[in-house]
Amino acid sequence: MTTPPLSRRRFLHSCAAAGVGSLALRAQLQSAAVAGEMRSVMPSGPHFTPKAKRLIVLFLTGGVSHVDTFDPKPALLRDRGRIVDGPSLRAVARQPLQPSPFQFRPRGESGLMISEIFPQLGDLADDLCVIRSMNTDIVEHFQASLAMHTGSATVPLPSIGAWLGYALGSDNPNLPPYVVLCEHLPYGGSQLWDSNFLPPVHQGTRIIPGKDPIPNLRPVVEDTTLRSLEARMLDDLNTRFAEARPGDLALAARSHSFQTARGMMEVAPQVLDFSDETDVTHQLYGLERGDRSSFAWQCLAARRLAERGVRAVEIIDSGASNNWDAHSDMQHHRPKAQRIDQPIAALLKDLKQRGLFDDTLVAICTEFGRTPFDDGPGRNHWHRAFSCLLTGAGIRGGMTYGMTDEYGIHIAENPCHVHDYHATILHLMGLDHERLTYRYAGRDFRLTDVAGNVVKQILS
Amino acid sequence: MEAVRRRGFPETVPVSYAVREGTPRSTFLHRSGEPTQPGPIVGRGIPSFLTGIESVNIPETESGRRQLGEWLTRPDHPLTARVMVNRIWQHHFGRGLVSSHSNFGTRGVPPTHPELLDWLARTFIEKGWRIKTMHRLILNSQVWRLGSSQHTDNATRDPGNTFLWRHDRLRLDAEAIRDAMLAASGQLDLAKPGTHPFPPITNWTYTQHSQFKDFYPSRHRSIYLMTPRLQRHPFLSLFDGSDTNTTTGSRTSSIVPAQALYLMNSNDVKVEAEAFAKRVAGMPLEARIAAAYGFAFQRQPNPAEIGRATEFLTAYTRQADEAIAWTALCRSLLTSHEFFYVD
Repeated sequence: MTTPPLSRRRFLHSCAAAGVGSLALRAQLQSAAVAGEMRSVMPSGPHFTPKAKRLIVLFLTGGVSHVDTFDPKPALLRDRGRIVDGPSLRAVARQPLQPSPFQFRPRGESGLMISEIFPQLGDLADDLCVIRSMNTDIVEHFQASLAMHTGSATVPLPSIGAWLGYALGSDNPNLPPYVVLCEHLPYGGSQLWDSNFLPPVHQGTRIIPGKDPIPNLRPVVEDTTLRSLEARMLDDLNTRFAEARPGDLALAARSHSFQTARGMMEVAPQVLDFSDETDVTHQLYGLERGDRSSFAWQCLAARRLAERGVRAVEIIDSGASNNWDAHSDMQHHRPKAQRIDQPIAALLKDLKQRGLFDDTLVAICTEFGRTPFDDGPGRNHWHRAFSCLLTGAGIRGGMTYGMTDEYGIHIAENPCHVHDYHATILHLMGLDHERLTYRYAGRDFRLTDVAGNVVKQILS
Repeated sequence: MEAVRRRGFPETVPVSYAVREGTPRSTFLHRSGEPTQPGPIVGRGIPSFLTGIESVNIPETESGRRQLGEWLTRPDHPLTARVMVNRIWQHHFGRGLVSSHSNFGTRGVPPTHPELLDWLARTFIEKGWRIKTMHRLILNSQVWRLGSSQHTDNATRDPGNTFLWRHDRLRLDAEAIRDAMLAASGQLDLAKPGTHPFPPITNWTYTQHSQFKDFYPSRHRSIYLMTPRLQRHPFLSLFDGSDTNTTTGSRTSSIVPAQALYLMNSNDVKVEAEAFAKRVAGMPLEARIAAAYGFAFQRQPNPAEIGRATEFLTAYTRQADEAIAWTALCRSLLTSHEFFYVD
């Protein structure tokens, strides 16, 4: 190769200007890749030996109340009604402390305190790590949901699943690296699983539980011979066009996307067809045969996707309505918990019996907690302290990390910001969150911005 | 509720949301960024670091919207016109003369053709800020009519095509893909569309938690489609349509399997392909293939292409009706690289 006419500095400059993904940039990426100036667009692979090969995220939208689930506060009962300065959404109001309507008891050998609304998850207490000192920056659903997925509460950035796909690729060429099971759109919509400036191939693929889980997956031509005749016709048209235009990577990628799509048409229906699952498995999840949409169905689908090499699987529990946003009554948490308790416990047990638990990281999380102070019987949004869980690969079970004050209002020790949570997840996936970067708009971006610390105390 | 919104206007007068002047007031400095700690009054005007030329005078009784518009478009201040003609240029070439389309400042990229940019900006102002005039000017230029084929010597000297020695191959944008499919299949309705069939205002119960999610079918050009904020349009978003919540300086041009699935299996594309097949029905075989190529690619097929299409139809009709075979052929044409790229 002779001296590349496009200097690295000029190239990066124009990257910033053109915006990643523009065709002009694509053309430059091609020439730059040829000139050996760019790192490969292939996955870089882990930075060190990972504990976890795959991630399953269970995202509970609306804001799960920490003091009613995983962070018991007897002092709320003792001091019920005591007025505290409660910063609410818009101002500081003087609000009465409100105890939880639910009972907590120690579960497992570890004696982890878990609310009565999660009886079956409680059975697995010794596998769970409860982080009680979670905190996030903005106390509204959209922003906090975005933060939990992208590390940014303001400007949409790539989702954690997209980062994992970018870094680690997929173990199955016929399935996308990041799959999101999502019945109803959450706050922030598809921005939660978007690839943003990362290459679009890393954006999450949404599966909509129900009759038609992946749009346009069912072949429009049923006869396989006719379908392959048409596929060959299209491929011939495309090949003829591309061969007359050598070196155009966009055309090659577009041809390839049809191959991948055909692979998905073969493989994805098998993944989502549970007829080969035993009655025992169905009973474990509490899943009736023929059910194609319940949370139990989603959990079993998550296991099957993870098993087949999907890097990151996420289940979004409920959408932007009828979710965990219990403003009017904390009792509304009970049916929400009942809906997910057995399926989540079943998923964890199922991963264990298949030997997948040791290399699968499971994150059970929400965008923020709820106020321990409120006139009741509901609670408002609260972002200065809440609880999230991690379990599975590389996680010490039966422990709590961090501590809130006696009422659950502020963090008393070992705060864990969303960036810290993300840094820890990346660490377990074999990635140094400070080295996993992507150059965009003139600087290197990270999932954890310029923050984040791996929470070493919870690693096994 | 609707009566309140109508404020006494008769039923025959349609209502819509709009902007009007409020009560103008000056804002004040927020000490430490706190609105609760007001500092001195800051008068309305153009920030002085931006102007370079004299700022504007805004009477106490006016908001300044009019003055802002006038300031932005004054003929002796070229920035607005430069930015706009650059956007128009970018729309046709995939990249502006200033590639940092939203940054003409010190951190932006200098123009590749500064004289051309200024000439276009001056022409834009002189011709009365008419966008269509600029389209006509650019589309009649020699540079726009260049092909996208490679040239070894040029490619060595300017691999990024910075100096526009060829056309950069561009994928159609989302709206154009939809319009082109409707046009090729003969289904495009060029008549003026009516209003969207929104439910009556009295039935609206939309909130953050209970969102408006409807989309309405249409055979009109994509520019007439409803632009919702909360949900992205299922077709437009699949092919990198703009995020309707923010300004989009330039579109991405993604290539993902979900697009291929849509093109192969969706009912939308099937309907277009069926209409396309019917459009070229009733002709002798070779003429029919030529007509289909003409509608899809604006060119005639060569003998090899006619041969390939004939071979496909022969094989297909051994197992299926001619109409279904033609639908399959037309779908292949409508979803092929050649249909999707401006070459």
